[in-house]
Amino acid sequence: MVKISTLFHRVDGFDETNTSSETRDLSDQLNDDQFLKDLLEPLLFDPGDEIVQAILHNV
Amino acid sequence: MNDQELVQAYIKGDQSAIESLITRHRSKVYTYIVLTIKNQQLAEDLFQETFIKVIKSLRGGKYKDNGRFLSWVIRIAHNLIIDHFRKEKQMNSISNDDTEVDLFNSQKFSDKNIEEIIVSSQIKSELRALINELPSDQREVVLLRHYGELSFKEIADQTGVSINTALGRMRYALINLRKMIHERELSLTVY
Repeated sequence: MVKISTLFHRVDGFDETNTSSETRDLSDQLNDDQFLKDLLEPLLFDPGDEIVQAILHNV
Repeated sequence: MNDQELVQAYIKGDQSAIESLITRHRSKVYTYIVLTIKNQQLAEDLFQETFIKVIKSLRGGKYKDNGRFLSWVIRIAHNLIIDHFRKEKQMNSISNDDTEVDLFNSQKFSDKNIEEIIVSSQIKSELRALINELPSDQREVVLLRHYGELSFKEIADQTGVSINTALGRMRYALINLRKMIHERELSLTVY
């Protein structure tokens, strides 16, 4: 039985040369945004209801 | 209702719409301010000033609705922070930690158990330390991007630099954050 490694074989229909640098930049940016979202999501402070009521009272 | 609809409702006289808008965005706006100036009392004052200015601008017809309400509010907050420190001539105090207040003591945890409170506080504390250790220009880009959802063009305009500089600052900020997380072996997940 012959075993064929697919490790270095290109998958049909997947041509990296068609990926523009702009697409890659956008992809990087989306990844970066997701990293920030995952990282900073827990970092949220609530000013509380009183301050909101104070604003509404002041205007 | 989305932001755009709430804005229109408020302009047409629905007073409750502005309360809904403030309630929806208050945590992101307040967190942006408090992480930028690191002073809870001043942050509360500037938070109020920000939304008072928002309300006056809406009433005065100065808001161009492009579906980016939060970004607009964050830009107002950013400008008020800059104005404040220009007036006080204390720009250096932006990175002064002496006046920092422990925000965790003021939070209401009644519906959480003690373990969750401790883990949550610990994570917030570690995250805050990470953000605080970034150089101020990198921190500014990260906060405007994450909390204000500004585009890099808007960040560049807001901070008076080119888009490439803004992008570069973000790139270095992420490198620094990843490096700090790795070096400190931080696990920033609530289980």
